[in-house]
Amino acid sequence: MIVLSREGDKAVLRPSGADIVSSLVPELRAQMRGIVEEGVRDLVVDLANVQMVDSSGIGLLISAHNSLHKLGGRLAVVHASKDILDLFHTMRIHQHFSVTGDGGED
Amino acid sequence: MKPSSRFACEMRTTLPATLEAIEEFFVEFRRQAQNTLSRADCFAAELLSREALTNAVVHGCHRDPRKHVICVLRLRGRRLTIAVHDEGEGFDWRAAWNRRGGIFESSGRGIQILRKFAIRVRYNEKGNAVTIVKLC
Amino acid sequence: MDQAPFDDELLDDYLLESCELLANIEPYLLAMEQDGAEIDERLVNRVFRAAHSIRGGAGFFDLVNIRELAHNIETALDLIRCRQMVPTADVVTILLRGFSKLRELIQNCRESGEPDIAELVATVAGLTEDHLPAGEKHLSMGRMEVAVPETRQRVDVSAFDLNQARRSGQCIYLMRYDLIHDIQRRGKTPWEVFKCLIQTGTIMETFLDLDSAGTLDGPPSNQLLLEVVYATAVEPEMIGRLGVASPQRVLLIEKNRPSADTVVRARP
Repeated sequence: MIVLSREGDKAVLRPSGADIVSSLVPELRAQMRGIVEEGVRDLVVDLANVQMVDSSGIGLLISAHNSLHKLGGRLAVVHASKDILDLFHTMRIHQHFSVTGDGGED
Repeated sequence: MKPSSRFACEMRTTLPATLEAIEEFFVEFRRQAQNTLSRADCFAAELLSREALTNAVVHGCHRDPRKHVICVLRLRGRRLTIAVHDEGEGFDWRAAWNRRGGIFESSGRGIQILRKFAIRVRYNEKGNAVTIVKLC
Repeated sequence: MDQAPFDDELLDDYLLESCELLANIEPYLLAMEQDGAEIDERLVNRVFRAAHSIRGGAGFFDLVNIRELAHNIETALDLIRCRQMVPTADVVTILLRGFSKLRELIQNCRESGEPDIAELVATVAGLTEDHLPAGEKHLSMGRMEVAVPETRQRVDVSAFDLNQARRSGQCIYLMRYDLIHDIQRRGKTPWEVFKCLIQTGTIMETFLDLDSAGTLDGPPSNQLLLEVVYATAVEPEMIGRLGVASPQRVLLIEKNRPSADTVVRARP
């Protein structure tokens, strides 16, 4: 369900068919913490098959950004649906880390 | 004969206060909502309902499966009303709302979503019932 | 997307304050025109600070058009107060147009992203370009990245602001406020902090840092950090004691001595 691909200090997380919402956040948080501890500094979260992100999901992404930023790394979110992209813009998330949509465009 | 322009439907459910029950609810919600609302409205309706339900389960009932949360969604014309009521002691919505900077409190991110996506959000005095209105 | 017209109290505060700042701006500009080359420094400073405050707040709320226009107006006013440009009738006419459009954007704030103000911005920016010496013309639109000592952080600032700060011999600091603990819980607003800082220096940039969610390690922390890149003549020993709120952290980015020869190379 949460597919991870890894190459050196880069990793791509793909929560496929799952949503970044309260019930899934603890598992995702643990996984993100684990890979950051293992040395990943360039983390991409691929939302290609994610339909919903709620406030706890947003909080998780921000936490991940903060952790990575402190270590000189970065978080990027890609393939967000139009609805999720609009949500991120409304919550001003895009001012702080990169969020792009299905076409790779903002 | 012209079809009625008043489209009414209602979805009512009682859930044990667990996050898993919320997920099961939304599987059903998506099935029903996609026949009724536009994609963008489905998303917003689900988002608003999620925030209200998660709040009720986590802050209202402290994730106690013996407690219950009632959720009613009603669509009349363009007006979608989401009402969530929980069996908890209530939560301090005034502190979370915090007029003078509530958008900053991390626990208020959910409240911020409610404020931005709905046209009306009303809590009862005790804080264990909320009514959200959105225009579709 | 359906955005509800819900009151965002913080944004409303900013818009109201900005309207107040803009309410009496015309007489000041006309007085500046009357004074010509014999500028009244306090008057010019007042007009400068109005544009500067509006710019700072717009950056905070991501109001792109307001920010860009205010920044261009501010830059032109900075040239006037440094006596690099005389407020002639032509110059003041352009500034009046700029402020008038700014007022319009503030009043229609929710749509402020939409109107095409590129031409007006170019006209105002043209004032700056025309009055900068040849070696400095490239600065008016460029950005610069500056490293923050003792950290891995780099901040992105306007090349023009950086050059002005260096030339005036100002110190440049990175100040961090916890909006919740340092500001909101003391009954203050970010604007009160900005206004106070603006009395004694220039805010070059502001960044809102989302530490409010903490990191992946600890429990969610209840912080929201505002970082301000600030240029001022105030020395490092005194910097923590400015104004209505104490910053959580102050880092000295650069200490400068006044020099007319300092020119920086901007990124295109």
